[in-house]
Amino acid sequence: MTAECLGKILSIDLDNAHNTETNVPDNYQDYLGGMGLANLLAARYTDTVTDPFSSRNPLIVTAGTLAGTPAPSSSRTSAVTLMPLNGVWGSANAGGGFAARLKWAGYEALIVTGRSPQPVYLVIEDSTVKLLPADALWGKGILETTETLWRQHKDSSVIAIGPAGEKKITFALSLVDNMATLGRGGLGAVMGDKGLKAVVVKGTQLPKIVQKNKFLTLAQDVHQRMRNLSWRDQWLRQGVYLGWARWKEELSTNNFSRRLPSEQIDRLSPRAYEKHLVRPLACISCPMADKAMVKTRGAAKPISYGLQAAMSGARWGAKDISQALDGMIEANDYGVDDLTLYAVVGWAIDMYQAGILSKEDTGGRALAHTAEQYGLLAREILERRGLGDLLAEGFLANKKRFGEEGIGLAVHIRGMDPISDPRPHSSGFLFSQLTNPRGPYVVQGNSPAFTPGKKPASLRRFLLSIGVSEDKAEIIAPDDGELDLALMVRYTEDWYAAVSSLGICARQPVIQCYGPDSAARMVAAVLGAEFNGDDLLQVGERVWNQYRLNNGLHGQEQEILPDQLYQPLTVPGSADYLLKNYEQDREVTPQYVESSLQRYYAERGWNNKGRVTSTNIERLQLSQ
Amino acid sequence: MQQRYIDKAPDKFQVSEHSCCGCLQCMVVCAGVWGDEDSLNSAKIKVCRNTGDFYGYSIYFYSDCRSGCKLCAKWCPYGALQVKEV
Repeated sequence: MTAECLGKILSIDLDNAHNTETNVPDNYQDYLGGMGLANLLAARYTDTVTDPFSSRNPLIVTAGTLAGTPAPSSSRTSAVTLMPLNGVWGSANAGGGFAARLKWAGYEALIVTGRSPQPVYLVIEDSTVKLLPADALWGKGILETTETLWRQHKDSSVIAIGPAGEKKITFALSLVDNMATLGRGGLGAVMGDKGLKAVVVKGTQLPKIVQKNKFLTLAQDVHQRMRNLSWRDQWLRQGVYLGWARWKEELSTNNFSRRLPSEQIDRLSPRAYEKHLVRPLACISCPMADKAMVKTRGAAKPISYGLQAAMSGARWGAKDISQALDGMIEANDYGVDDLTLYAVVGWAIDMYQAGILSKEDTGGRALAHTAEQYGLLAREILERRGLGDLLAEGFLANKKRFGEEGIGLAVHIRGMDPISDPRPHSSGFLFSQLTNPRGPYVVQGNSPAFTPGKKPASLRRFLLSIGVSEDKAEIIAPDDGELDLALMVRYTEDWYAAVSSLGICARQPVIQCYGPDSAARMVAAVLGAEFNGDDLLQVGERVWNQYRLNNGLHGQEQEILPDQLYQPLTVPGSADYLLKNYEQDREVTPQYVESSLQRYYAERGWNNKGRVTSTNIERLQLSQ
Repeated sequence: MQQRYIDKAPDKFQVSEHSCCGCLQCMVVCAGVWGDEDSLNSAKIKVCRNTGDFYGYSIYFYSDCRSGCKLCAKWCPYGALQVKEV
């Protein structure tokens, strides 16, 4: 029944330019699409593929169960591959229009293996699949590449890489439709290694919906709820910048050693950003657009979101949001993760100042935390020149070369830099970065506890809304005790995995308009099968366990906060910040983190090393 | 097969292309409700990415649009399609 309602899986082998179509696995309903299907398919490769640059490393791209339908904000694209930055099976997720159009072309998933001897791009047009030469595009930035492909393939969506991916910089990413980043951790480098410059998809076949009228009523209800949000207009102007009051405190610079001065923070504010906003851009099916066109100098350009420019700009010392936006747009065009790029540069500067690197290593230059030096070293990385060639491999690959002292100066979790500095606000965000198999990521585990100062009653209401029992919610967020962030993350991760398997965006205004029951009713209407909120929550748990199992060797030994984050964060003109608990009344120590992790593992039913147990494998029918 | 004509400005709608953010909900819902072949091509409205300004959209209606249902305007969250007041 399920396979009849769904599209096919398209497998492309670039070694021999051969493609095949298969049905979705029989247990599709246990995993759904998107993140679930991607991790289920990845499980077929985890035993045999150990090198991200092996031609057998699969690039798996999936659409959620609701993608391509009128379900609001349902066009998130999921992707899984063995990531070069830190060697994990990373689960990536991005907006844009790719997932919807993949469904319209008749596919649930795309698996690319092999390596093309010449640069190619893949075109999927309503079940017609072609590999075309990409010599003329190789070396071009993503923005130009995508626009060229849009011109040649009208009404299409494009995933493309830039020169960073072609040069296999381990923190190269791709963009979806020039406006959404996909693949922090080096997915772009995997595409570059395969000689795959871009994937273009377009189609006209609407996904089958067994109970169409019922589905439309459900979708319209969610759509209307989003449009009725009192703060929607502000969201359309600022997007995730709306959380500025919290984020601005977490902008540290100089390799996570000091917070940005207040006057510099003000120049990165949403108010300053709005002066550059031309208009919002929406992902397919989304009434809560938070991508944008911005104009700094010259023509307006698309961006994923303004807040990221502020965050990466803080790392390299952008003097204002205009400079920060220019820096991010340039990085996007080049196809490199600007956050990791400037984290790596900051680390190199600290290694120079500690005497681990010398002028011999730096080409005779003295390194300091100045915008100019960040720019020069970043350029060397992007061009893979001198020291930059080594730094392009990321943190962990350089462990041997720079020794324990050198790697000790790197601020990373599992070989990836934290998104922001957690010391001002130890929040759910910190724990979700610690427990994510992929390393620090933006939204997995998203909850109101990402924001400081939430009242326990409000957090309990949220927990109940995502299907947590009243008893458990009381334990996690008691009125007269400490919020248990580690325990909470177990449930928010599962909820994230569930909505990401549907293809729904995990941004706050979106997920607060969906609940387990309403989302499950949509699945039931699409598939014409019995499916309720409990089923959906179990999908979430199963998918997160599968994700963890796929990364079986990456357990507790890597869930370590970097030493730097236990040191005080210098705040110009104010008292230092120390890493504290959510209530800010207790210092967070390595022992505190260890004890939190043990509670998290126990809540998940994992062993005390953070490994998925055979009991869970059996109970959740995981794929091995 | 009935010939379909493109109508850029049907009487019943105020169309503001510059407000369109490209969510394509109008097209998907129209095809889902009125289409008989589960094809996006059966939508009575078409939203296309512009060439040149790739981040702007053009909106077209086909001559077989029933206009009366106004579903596209109801599902447009960005004010690009509004029902004209009579």
